[in-house]
Amino acid sequence: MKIVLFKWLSVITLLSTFALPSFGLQPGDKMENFKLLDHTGAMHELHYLSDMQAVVLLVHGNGCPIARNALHTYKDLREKFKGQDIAFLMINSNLQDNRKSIAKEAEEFGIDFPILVDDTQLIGESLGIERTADTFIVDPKSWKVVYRGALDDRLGYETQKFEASNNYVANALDSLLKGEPIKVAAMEAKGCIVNLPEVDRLQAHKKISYAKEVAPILIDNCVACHRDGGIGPFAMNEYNMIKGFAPMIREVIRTKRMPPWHADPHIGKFSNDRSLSQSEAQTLVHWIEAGAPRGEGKDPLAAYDKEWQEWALGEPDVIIDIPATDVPATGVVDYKYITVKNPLDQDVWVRAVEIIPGARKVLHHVITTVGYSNEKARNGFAAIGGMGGYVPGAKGEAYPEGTGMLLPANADFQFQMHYTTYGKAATDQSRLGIYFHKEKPKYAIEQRFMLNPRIKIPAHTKAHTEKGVWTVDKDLLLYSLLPHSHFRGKASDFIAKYPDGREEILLSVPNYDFNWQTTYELAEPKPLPAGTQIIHHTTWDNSAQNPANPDPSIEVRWGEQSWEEMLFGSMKYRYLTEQESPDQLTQAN
Amino acid sequence: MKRLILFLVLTSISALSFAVAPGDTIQNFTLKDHLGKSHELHSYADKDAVVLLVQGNGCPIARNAIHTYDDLQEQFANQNVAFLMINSNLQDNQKSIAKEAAEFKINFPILVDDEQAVGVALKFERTADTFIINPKTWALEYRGALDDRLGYETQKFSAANNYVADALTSVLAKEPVKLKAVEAKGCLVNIPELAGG
Repeated sequence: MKIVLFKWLSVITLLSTFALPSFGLQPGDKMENFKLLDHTGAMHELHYLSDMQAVVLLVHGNGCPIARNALHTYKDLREKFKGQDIAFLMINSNLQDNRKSIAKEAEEFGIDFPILVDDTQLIGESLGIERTADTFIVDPKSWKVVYRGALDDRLGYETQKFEASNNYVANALDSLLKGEPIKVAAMEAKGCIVNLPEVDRLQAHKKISYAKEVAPILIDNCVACHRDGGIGPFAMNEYNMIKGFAPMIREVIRTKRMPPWHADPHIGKFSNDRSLSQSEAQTLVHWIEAGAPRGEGKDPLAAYDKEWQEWALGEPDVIIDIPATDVPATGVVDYKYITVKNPLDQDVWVRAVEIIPGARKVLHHVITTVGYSNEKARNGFAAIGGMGGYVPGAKGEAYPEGTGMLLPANADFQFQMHYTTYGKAATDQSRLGIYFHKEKPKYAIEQRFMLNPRIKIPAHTKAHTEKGVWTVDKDLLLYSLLPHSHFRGKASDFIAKYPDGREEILLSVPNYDFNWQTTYELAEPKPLPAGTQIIHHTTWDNSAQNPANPDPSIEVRWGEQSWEEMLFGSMKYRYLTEQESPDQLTQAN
Repeated sequence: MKRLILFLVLTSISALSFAVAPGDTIQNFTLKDHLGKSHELHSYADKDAVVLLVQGNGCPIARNAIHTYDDLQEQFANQNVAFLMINSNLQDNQKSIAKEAAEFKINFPILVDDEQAVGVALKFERTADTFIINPKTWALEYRGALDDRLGYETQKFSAANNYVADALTSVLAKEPVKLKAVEAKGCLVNIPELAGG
């Protein structure tokens, strides 16, 4: 009887271990995928590290003596396992730390590991982080945690020994590399307590209101595409859809796939920013982790019947029909170039353009170029300039106030059409709507490309960076930036190097995704004096770890097709008039 | 008696944390498809293999997998193989699945697992996951991705590895399957009972 009782007790203990999420990830548990920016602004994704023998994650915290002391042990570990394909990372989920203060700590203490900044604390919560200097070893073959706990037994609270007698992490890594069972899979970590206030609030999260809190976030951020007839693959049109897709919504937030906004939020401000705020992401994920309860109140998604205008900017002055293209159900389709004669018999100044996609689900992008057909020119077309285009989620493009583009009467349009297949054959018949200025605008909008056709991307390379540079010829006012590369594009930035030597990052896109050709529109147009160098970098991932890479074994050169590559940044601006000066405008801002 | 209960409690705990893996026996089930026709797993006893693909409405990867599945069926047309799909999504029902099937030209029976019973039993995690079942033993021979062509927001020109085709070839030749499991990429299937709360 006593024996039975004892067994029951252990069963209860076991059960309670399973039932309490606050115990966090234990050896044997799977670590779910996530993407986080580090303290330098570089992007890291857990599952990208699938070619590693092990991934080691150390919990970091500014100002914690034990975490600071652990740094040297961590460096020794990296040294000991040099050449063994082990990724050593840190993660900081502290409430009180941020990118800037973490970068300062890293600088001051010589931390040369990427410190992943978990600014929403959502990743720390799912790992069950309790203290700094805690270590997770993950086996990328299964993504299971194989060890969790102290680095070694050297450090204690206000004590440290000369040397460790047990090197837990080193021993665990040794065993993992040899394919042997790990003897000590968990050891209590000593470190500073990480304040994750939401961890114990599961009951409160169950009370997050779907009707009052969750649905409004979805309406504001998702429904423009995820609606009936929208470009999103499913419609967020009732609670059941959200409940069903809830784990998927959580995953795309954790992995920064949705909403599609790939810029570093710490650099610049953009008027078309589509990202979720920290608190929006937290509300959604906490509600989902609480089981996505329906709660009380009318379903705002079911009741939402916004009238989606066909033309976001109203009825255009002229509509150009782009001839139809058949798109197959599956596979990869080459770029298509379609030329159409401008039907207008007089010059007009264009104030806005919009392309209505014929087959939203397959149309990846359109780039409209104005010019003249010419067999000798590239793609049979001598371009005057770009005139907007289409990317998924775009709602028409109005040029900044007071600006416009001249469309000559006898010109041609050339449309670069790129299609992605989606499982069903389709015919695309898109239309370009053009809106005129009544009279000549004050300023002409200008577009400049920073390209580098001499790029040479070595085979089997995880990160290869090249640049294109343009020196501002006359004082200008910058409106927008668009990085463009193809399947191997990994990251891009635009840096202004001013005549006085100062450098400023205008835009950083550390999470470049070829699927989304986003133009980043500056919330405040930026005056740039003549002589400013605009340096545009693109980094490509030509390794097998890039799931979009069609062939990591070849050196990749410049080319229009998506399996070739491009460094092709674009900027829109207007020149300043003689009466204006960059300094004046800067002060006015 | 108490020991038995204890044993059951323990097995249910361990079952929670482990996926249905190759070698496991698949229990019989009966479900109606999207057109209302009834399918019992054991009624396919005369087949040499049963292939089951996890479908989900509105999932880009599941949609893109349809054609790979069409090609597979074509490749094994002269063999005695049953190709089925199954939908355990909370948010889908017979009507919406029939609509998706019509829109995306899905010519396979899609079993409507509206109680999620099969999803729970087979521990579905993601759509576009494939199960190859051997009707001689009802053992699972392969579980995982169809091939390595599709990823999250990516697709390659062609697959370098056709996992299901290779596994099926081995099963039909009565040879051991070399690669028995490959992580499937697809949309997460929300099965509250498996989430443990």
